[in-house]
Amino acid sequence: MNVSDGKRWIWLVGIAAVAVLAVLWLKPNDESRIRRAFAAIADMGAKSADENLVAMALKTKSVESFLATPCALSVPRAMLDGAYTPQQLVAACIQAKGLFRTCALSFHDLRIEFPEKDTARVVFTARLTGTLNSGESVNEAQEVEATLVKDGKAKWIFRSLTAVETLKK
Amino acid sequence: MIFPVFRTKWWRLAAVALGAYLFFGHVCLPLWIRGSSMEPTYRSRGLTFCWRPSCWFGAGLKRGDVVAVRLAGLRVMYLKRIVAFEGETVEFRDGRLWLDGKRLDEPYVKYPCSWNLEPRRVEPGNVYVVGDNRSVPMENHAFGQTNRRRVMGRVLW
Repeated sequence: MNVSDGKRWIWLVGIAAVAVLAVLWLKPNDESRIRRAFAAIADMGAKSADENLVAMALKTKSVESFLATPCALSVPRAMLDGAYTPQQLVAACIQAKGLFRTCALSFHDLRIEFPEKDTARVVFTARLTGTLNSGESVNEAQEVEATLVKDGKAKWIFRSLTAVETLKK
Repeated sequence: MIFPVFRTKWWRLAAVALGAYLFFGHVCLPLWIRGSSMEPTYRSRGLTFCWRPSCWFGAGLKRGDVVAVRLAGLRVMYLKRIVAFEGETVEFRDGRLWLDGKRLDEPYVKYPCSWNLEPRRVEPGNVYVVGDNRSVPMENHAFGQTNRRRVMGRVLW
């Protein structure tokens, strides 16, 4: 084996290692599925200025498929506390979005743990920005703790959402 | 003197990138301000930096310090001013802040305020933070006591 053969082998091993890492990284796992669920909900939670009421309602209704029946909510700022059906929560979302001319929902700093099989605990920051119909700007951030479970189709759905009290008046 | 490995430009570039990541990701966090809760001291869409060493090794925080308070992580944080420490009693009377029964002079509050809040004691391990813009209704302004461990550091300016 001469020097150029040795260099070629090093390159080949390096490329193979990168390929294996890329496959492992890109392979769908539970964590990436949960992140995708959050991204989908963020998309469904947004409202653009030119979006009509029917389109907004249909888009928001898609959130139903990400909610368990019932889904427990504890968000005092939104006056939500108790167990709700997905239909009730979607109706509340549509009503709330009706107050906005535009809005955007984003999720940050997701910390995902799996305390038991098919159950995930996610702590994250939810951020809502937008403009109300009155022209007033909204910029709210809230830390939330969520519990997700896998449904029969191996899809992650929300079983509970609890607002974490970061600042206690 | 320079380590031999840093003589090539690619290694130098990698070292600068790593240094910038560590410095701006863990030591001096850039904060893009969104929202009006600290106006007029900090305007929305402004930029400042959170100096994390100000909270390391038990370094002291002072009343009046503007600090970043983390939520679930460091991507989105509250920018607030520390007004009270553990054991102190906080109260708002007609928009004025009272500490342990004495009125606190707050030259940084420029807008009119009419908040009223019953006295409450800051719990051990907590600090009490409020924004400078108190012209909004009290219910719409995020303020209150929070665990000191959530305070990520003072802002640089």
